[in-house]
Amino acid sequence: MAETIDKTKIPPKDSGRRRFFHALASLGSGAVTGLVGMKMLESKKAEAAELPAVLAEPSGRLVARMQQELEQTIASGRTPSWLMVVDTRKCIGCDACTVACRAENPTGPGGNFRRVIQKEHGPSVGAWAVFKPVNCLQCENAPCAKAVPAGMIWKRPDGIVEFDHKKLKGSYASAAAQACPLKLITIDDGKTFTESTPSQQPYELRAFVENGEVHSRKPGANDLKDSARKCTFCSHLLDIGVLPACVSTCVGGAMYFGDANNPSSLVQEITQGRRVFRGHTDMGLTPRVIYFEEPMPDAAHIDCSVCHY
Amino acid sequence: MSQDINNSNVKAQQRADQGRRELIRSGALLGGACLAAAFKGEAAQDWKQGRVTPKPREASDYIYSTCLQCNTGCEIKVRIQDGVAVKIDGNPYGPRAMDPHIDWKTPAADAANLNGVICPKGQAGIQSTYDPYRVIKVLKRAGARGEGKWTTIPFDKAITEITEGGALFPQDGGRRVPGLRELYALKDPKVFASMATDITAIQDKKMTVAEFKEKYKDHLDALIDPEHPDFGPKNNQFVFNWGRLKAGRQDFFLRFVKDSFGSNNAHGHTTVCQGSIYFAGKSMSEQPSGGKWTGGAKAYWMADLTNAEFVIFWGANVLEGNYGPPLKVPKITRGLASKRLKAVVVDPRHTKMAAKAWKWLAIKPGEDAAMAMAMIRWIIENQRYDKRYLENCNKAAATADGEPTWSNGAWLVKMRSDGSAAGFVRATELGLEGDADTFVCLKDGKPVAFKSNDTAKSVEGDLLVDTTINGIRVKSGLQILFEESKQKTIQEWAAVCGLDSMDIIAVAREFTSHGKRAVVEIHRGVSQHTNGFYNVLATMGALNTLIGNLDWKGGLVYGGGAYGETGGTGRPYQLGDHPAKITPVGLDIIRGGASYEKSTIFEGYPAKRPWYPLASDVYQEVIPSAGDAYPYPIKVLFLYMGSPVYALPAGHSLIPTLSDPNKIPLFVCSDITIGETSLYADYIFPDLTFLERWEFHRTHPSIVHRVSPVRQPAVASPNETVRVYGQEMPVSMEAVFLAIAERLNLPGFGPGGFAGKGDLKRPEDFYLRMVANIAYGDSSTGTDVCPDANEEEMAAFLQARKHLPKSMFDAEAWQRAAGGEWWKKVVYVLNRGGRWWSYNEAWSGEQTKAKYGKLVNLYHEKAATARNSMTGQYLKGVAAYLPIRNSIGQELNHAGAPLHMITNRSMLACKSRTISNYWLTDIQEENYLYLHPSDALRLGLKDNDHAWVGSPGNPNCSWDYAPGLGKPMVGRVRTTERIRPGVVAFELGWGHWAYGASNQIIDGDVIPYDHRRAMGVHANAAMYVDEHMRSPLSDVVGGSAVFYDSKVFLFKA
Repeated sequence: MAETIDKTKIPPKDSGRRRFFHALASLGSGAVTGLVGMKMLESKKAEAAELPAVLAEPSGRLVARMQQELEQTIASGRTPSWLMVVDTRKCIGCDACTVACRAENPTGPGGNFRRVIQKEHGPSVGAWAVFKPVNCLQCENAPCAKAVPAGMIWKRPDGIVEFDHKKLKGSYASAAAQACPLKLITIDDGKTFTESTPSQQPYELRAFVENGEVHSRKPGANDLKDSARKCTFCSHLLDIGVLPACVSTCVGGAMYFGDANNPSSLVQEITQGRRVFRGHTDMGLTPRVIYFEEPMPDAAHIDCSVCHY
Repeated sequence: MSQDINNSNVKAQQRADQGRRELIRSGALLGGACLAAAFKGEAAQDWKQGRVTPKPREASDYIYSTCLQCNTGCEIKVRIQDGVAVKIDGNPYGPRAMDPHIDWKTPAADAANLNGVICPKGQAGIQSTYDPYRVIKVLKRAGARGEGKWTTIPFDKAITEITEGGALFPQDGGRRVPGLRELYALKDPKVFASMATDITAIQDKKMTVAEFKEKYKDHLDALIDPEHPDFGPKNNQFVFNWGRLKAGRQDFFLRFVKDSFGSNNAHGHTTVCQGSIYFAGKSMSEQPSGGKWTGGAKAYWMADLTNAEFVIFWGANVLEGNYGPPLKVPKITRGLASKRLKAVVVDPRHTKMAAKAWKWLAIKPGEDAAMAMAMIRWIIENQRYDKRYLENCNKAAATADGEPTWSNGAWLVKMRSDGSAAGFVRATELGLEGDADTFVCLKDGKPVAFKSNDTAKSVEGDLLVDTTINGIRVKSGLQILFEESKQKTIQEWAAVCGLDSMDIIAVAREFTSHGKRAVVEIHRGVSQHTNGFYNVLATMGALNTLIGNLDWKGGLVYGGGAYGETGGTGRPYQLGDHPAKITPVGLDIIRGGASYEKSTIFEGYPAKRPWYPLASDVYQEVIPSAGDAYPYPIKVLFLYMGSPVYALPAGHSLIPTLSDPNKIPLFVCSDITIGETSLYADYIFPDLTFLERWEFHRTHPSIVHRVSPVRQPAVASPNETVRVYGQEMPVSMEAVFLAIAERLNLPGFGPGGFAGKGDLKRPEDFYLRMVANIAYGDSSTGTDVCPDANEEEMAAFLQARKHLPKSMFDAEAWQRAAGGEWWKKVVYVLNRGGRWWSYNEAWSGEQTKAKYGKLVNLYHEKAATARNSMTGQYLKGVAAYLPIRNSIGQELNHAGAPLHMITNRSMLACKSRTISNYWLTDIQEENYLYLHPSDALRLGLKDNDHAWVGSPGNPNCSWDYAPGLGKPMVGRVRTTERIRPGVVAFELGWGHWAYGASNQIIDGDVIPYDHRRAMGVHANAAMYVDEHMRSPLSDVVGGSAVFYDSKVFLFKA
C-alpha cells in the first residue's frame, strides 16, 4: 500500500499526458505535491494552522494537483483505490456538478446520477442552510449487487461499482434501484429532453462511453432504455486521464478526488487523522464518497439529519 | 411520415455506428494500452473484456471561447464531437474559470486534459444554442402585434421593406410604414459638427432658434422639428436599443447606428441591471477640469476577494449572481474555510452566502442608506475612519502617504442661504490665487489653496470644518456627510431599516478593525430602488472611502481592464478608421446626460418625463418615451438581444406602446427565439447564439487581472445563409446592418469601409482585427507582442474548425482579414480563448497593480449643482438617506398590498434567456413565492399552495399581453425562515408566456408550446407603475429601474 510515485514511469512523448506537467509548472509552489503544506496563506492566524494547510490553497491549484496525481497514477500502472471527498463547507449548492454530470453522462429528464441536497433551518433555530452533494458511494458489499443475480453488478479493482447494462434491465434494474439506500440509481426511461419539441436536438444523440461500452440515446435506438444507470466516477474519463466532471467543475472548490492507496495524494492528506463523515456505516457499507468535516465558524455542518428528516 | 421516421432511424443508426467505430478505433491506440497497464498484475476479469475507452483528449477537440449565459463572461472550452458541441468546461487559461489560471503561454496541447470551473448555467449553454424553438429564418408579422402570427420572408425582401418602407402590413389598414432611407436625412459629417456647436449655443442662450433656422435653411427638412433644433436631425428617429451587448459587437453596431447612420439614439440596458451603481460610480470618478467635472467613468468598484479579511455583501447575492460564481466563489469559500475571511450579508433574504456568514442582517428593502448612515455616524463619532487618508487633499499628499487615491472630504463646500450645500468654494472666491480648478481646504484654521492633481505641493486639510471665510459659509465634504448621518441617532436609523442597533455597531466595529482589508461590496439590492443613487454613494462610496481601502489588496478594486481591442498607439489596427464618420447631434429620447432647464422644451416642473443629467442608457425610458413622443416621436426601433417587457419591473406597462404602430411605426427585433418582447416585432431577424459568434466580453471591476476573453464561433449556426456585399454568412445582427449599409450605400461599410485601410464586408473583417490588437499586447512600443502559433497549434486550430461551414470559417479569408504577419499570432490568442495577465501580475506589494489612482469624490459638486427635473429641487451632493418616492416625490400608494415584493437570482436561471435550458429546469422546474411562515399563517397559505400575486396597479393578477391573451400570475408558495417577515421573494427566470411557452403560428402552421417553458411565475407585472410617468418606477438621479419598492397581495388560488 505504501507506494510512492515513481516519476520514471511518466509516459513517453506524445502520450498527451506528459505535457500536462508543463502546465502545472506555471501554477507555482503549491502545485507540486511535495511542496504543498509548507506555505500558509495566513500563517499569522493560529486557528488556521489546525487545518490541513493545503485547504488554504486556491481551488485551481488543487484541481491541477489532482489532475497531476491522476496522470501519475495511470502512468504508474498501479491499481488505484479511488476516493471522493466532499468539503461541504465549500459547497454552495449550485448544482454545477449536477449539470456537468448530465452533459458528460447523457441522461433524459429526471435521470440524475448526482444531486445536491439542500437542508434548511427549523423554526426554533432560525435561518441556516447546508448543502450536500450525493452520488453513488461505490460501496463495498453494495446492496444493489446483492439484490440482483451475480454477474450483473461487479466491482472494479479500483473500487468503482459497474453495471452490466444489457442484463440490468426491467425488474432487475428496479431491484437494484430499490436496494440503494440513497436512491442514487436511476432507470433510463429512454426519453430525451427535446423529443416532444419542434425538433430533436443533436447533442442528445451523441455516442458516449459508459462502463466500457459505446451507447447512444437516440430515440428508437437507445440501448440503455430500461437499464439501471448511476455514477461511475466518470470512469471513461479516468481512463484517459481526465478528472470526473463534477470534480473539476466544482465552483466552490468542494470536490476532491484521488487514489487512497497513494499516501501523498490530496485526498489522503486532507482526511488522514481528521473527522470525516461516512454515511451508512451502520449498514456495513464502506462508502468511497466521504464528507470532510471540520468546523467553519459561521456555517452549519452536515450530519445524518441532512438526508433523514 | 413513417418513411421519414424510418429514414431518420437508419441515418441515426449509421451515425451511431460511425461514432462507435471512431471511438473504438482511437480507443485501441492509447486507452486500451493504458488500462492494461493500470491493472497489471491483477487476475484477468470478465469486466475488462472488450472494453472501449474514449479517444484521449487533444487540443483540436476544443474551441476556446467565452460564456454568455450571464454577464460574468467566463472563459470556456467547448468540446466538439462529430460537429456538435457536447460539453462546456471552464477554460483553465482563464482568470474567471480557474483560480489561479495556468500560464497563458502553456502549449494548447498541454491544457487539453485540464478543466476549469463553470457554473450550471454555463454548462447548459449548449441548450441555448440547440434550442428547438430557435428562429432560423426571417419572420414578418402576419397578425396584430403580439398576436403570435408570422410568415417567413426572404432576407433580401425583409431588408428592402425596412429600408424603403411602404404599406407593408395589410392587416394594419394600409398604414404607410417609414423606411430607414427617409430617416437617413442628414449625411454630411461637417453639418453635424456645425449643428452641434450651434445647438449648444441655443442651450446656452447664445443663439436663437430663428438664427439657427436661418443658418441651416437648406437643412430644415432634415430636422425632426425646426422649432426645436435641439432634437437634432431625423436620423435620431431611428432608435437602436439593446439588452446584452459587449465590446466588438457593440463597436460594430454603434459604427452603423452612430458613425455611419448618424443617430444619437443608441441605448443600452444598464439601468435594468444596476444603473445607479454605474452612475454613482461615474459621479465618484468625475475629475475637475476647467471649472466643471468631467471624465467620470460609467464603472464601479468591487472587493478584492482574494485578499479581503472582512466583507459586507450588501444587497449582493454573491454566490449565485453578480459576476459571481466561477470568478468569485472559489475565493470566498477558500477564504471562509481557511478562516481568512469573515463575512456579513445585508439582505432581506437569507442568501446562500448568508448560510456561511458571520451575520445576516435582514434589512428592510430600500432602507439601506439608513444602516449606512448609522455606520457612518458611529465611525465618525468614534474616529474609526482612516484620518491619514482622508486628510489628503491632492495627489502630492496621497503620494507622500503611499496612497494611490485621495478624496475630497476635506475640501471646502459653499453653503446656500437655505442651508443646503452647493459647489466647492474656489480659491479665487476667497482672494487666494488660482483658477477655476483651484480648491480650498482649511489647515489649522487657515484656508489653503490647492489643485487636485498637483504632484509638487502636498496639501492636507482639517476633516470636520464648519466656518465662515470672507463672509462665505463653508463646510468640509466630510462635515456635510457627518451632518447627514446625524439626522437621526443610531437607534433611530436602526429602527428605520428594521435592524438591531447593536448589530450595526458590531458590524461597523469589525469593518474598521481590518485596516485596508475590509470592504463593502454591493449590488442590485442596494441600487434598484428609487433612492438607489444615494444608497450606492452611502455604501460602496462613503463607507469604503472612510477606511481608505481603494486600490489596496483586500480592499475596493477597480479591475484590471482589458487590452485595447479597438486600437491605440502601436496597435496594428484602428477600428475607428472610417471614411466619413458622423458624430450624432441632438437630444436623445431618454434625455440622458441632458439638462431640462437648458432645453427648448423647458416648461416648469415637473417635466413630462424625467431628465437624467447624471445617467444614460436608461432602459425603462426608451419605449415609454417613444410612447409619449417625448421629447419627440420615433419612427423605427431596433431591439437587439433584449426583452424589456420580461426583464423590466412593471414591464407590462410597455405593452400598449409596443402594440401601437402609431407610436412605434416600425419595430424590428434581432432574437434567437420569439420572446416576450420580440412577440411585438414587425420583423424578427434570427441572431447567432454565443456559441456561434464573435464578441469581446472584456472585464468587470472584480477582475484584478487585465483580461480580453474572445467569444468566437464554435459550432455551425442553423440560421439560413444569406449573401451581403457578395459574402455568404448566416443571418445575424451583423448581416442585417451590413445589408442595410449596402442598400443605403453607407460609408464605413463594404469596400473601403476602413478608409483606405481595408474592406468591411463581413464580421471577421472587423473582429479579427480586434484579435490582432489583443495579440499586440499591452506595450505601446511593441515589447508585449504574443508569439506565433507553431505548426502543431496551427494544425490543431484548423482541425478544431473542420465542422464549420465556409460561411462561418474560411481559413484563407480569415488570414486575409487578420493580416498576413498577424495571422499566426491571432491563432495563438484564439487557441487560448483570449489573453490576460499571468496570475501574480495582478498585485504589486500591498496594492493592486491596475489602479484607479485618482481623486475619488466623497462630495459631488456635479450632483449638488444639478436639479431634479421633476421637483425642481437641487440634488444632494453627498451620500444621504432618502425615503422611497415616486418620480414626482410622492409616497407610493400600497393600499391593500401588505407584502413587500423582491426578486432574486437563482444560480439556475438568468432572467429571460435560460428557460430553454432543460438541464436546468429539470433540477428546478418552477420558481417559488418565498414567504416567512408567519406571513403564510396570516394569509392562510401553506407550502405548495398556489397563490395569485396582485397589486393595487394590477388587481387582475395577470399579464394581459395581447387582446384576449393573458398569463396569470400564479406561483407556488414555499415558506421559509430564510426571509424577513413581511417580504415575499421570487426568482427571476420563470413564468414565461413566449420563448416557446405559448403557441405561435408560422406560415399557417401552429408551433405548439412546451409546458416546461411556461412553468412558474413572473410577478413583474405586479410591480409599481409610476403614476406620473405611467411606466416603471425609476431612480430619477441614478437611472435604476426599481425592482424592490413594490408591495403586493397574495391569495390562495
